[in-house]
Amino acid sequence: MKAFDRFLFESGNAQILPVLRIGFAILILVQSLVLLPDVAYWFSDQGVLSTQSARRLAGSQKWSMFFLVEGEAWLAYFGVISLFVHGLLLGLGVYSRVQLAAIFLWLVSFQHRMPLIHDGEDTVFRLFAFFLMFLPLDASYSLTGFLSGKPNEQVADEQLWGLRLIQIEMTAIYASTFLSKLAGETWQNGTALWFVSRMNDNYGRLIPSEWFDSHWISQIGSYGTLAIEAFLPIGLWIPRLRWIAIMLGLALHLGIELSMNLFLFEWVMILGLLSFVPSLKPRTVATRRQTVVQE
Amino acid sequence: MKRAAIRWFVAIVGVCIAMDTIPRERFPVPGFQDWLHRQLDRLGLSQGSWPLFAPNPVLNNGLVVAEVTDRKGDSATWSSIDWAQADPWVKFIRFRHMNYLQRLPRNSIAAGDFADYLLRAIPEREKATPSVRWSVENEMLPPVELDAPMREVRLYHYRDSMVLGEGVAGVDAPLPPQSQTVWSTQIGFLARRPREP
Repeated sequence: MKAFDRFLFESGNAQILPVLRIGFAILILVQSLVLLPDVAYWFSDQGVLSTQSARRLAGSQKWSMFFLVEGEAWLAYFGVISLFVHGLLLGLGVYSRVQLAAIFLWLVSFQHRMPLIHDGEDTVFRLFAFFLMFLPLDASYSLTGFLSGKPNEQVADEQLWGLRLIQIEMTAIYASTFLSKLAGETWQNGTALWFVSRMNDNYGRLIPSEWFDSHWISQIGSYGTLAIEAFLPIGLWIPRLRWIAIMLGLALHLGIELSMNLFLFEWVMILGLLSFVPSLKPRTVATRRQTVVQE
Repeated sequence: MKRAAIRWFVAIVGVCIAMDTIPRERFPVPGFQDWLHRQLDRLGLSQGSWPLFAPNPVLNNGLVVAEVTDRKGDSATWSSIDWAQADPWVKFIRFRHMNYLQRLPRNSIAAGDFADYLLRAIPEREKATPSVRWSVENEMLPPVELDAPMREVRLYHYRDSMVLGEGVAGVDAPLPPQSQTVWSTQIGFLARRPREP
């Protein structure tokens, strides 16, 4: 129990909170701006999927604000504009928990109303919105703090347990994708990235697909991806390996970002990786001695 | 009291995420995983397994094409964006369209609704290219503008697949370079929507 308490209440990094808050808010703003021109197209009965069909696809267990009103375009516009406003207020640090609750509500509503346009990254967005609610995000670099005369309020380690939820989520994703890929023939023989480079829809940014014509580049890329995804779920939790794991994770996601068009997926994953960044506070001689005694 | 509640909450959420995310084929009781996924779905907290490019990358190259007939019987063709030709900026801002068109061929409900949408939206909101016509003397005639409303829409999926060598004596043929990759197009029927009287 003591170890679990140390894990939850004594080892968080409060310095990363404003980075997570502002980073997540920027991604929400980009999302809502990209959705705005197509709001009626995706989320109303004037568009490509009727509310009735959306209900059939969602089944009985999924809910959405859009199931309350029959296919009206105004609700879709209201939803996307709300998402933008909540994202903006989150970025400014105005009652962040309230903004995140609203963002979560709208993200679930959009995703259940139109499942065909959403993918894994949207799942990560939705869950991050939920997990971030449990963190004191307004403590620093926030308008709320500035107006109340406490621009950089001290956050106790005890309040940072919400970071663990994000970290567990990230670990589960890397472990899941690694286990899924293990069964794939192309990952086993090192040709997976050759096939990825032939995805004409998603592929095509700065790294030309011709690079993967070379069998050894394809093999290094495929086996390298597998190795990093196998290492991350372990390395991210071992303090001595954590920075290496974070850097490898960053390299993996930036590599994908440079070669593929996956919208905001890489950026939300990088945000998740940042939740593992250890505290950069210089440790005093006294705390160092204490640590040695404890060890 | 508060700490105890947090301990339980983190433990339950953590275990649920872990169980929901394990690939289905590796989970010892898939039926339980399905049940758990449904319960998490109710809360908006489902994660599911993470099959990005797994177990193998899936190529979704292709187009969605609609053959349209207007009320006078003239025909035209609507086509989705050709992603192979689109620049990265278009792929970024139209990313949702890319996702949608990749999934549409696997979803008959959505395909039917999309055909309905095209029936309403062509030619005002969606552009269709009028078909080339031929005279009795076998001369090409200029295409005519479509006359709304549309009478019928037939939706197809033009799927591009790679043609790969079989290999010899149990040894796989080497994968071809990009410039020599041969593609074959299969046409799959998705939906037909006549205008209701």
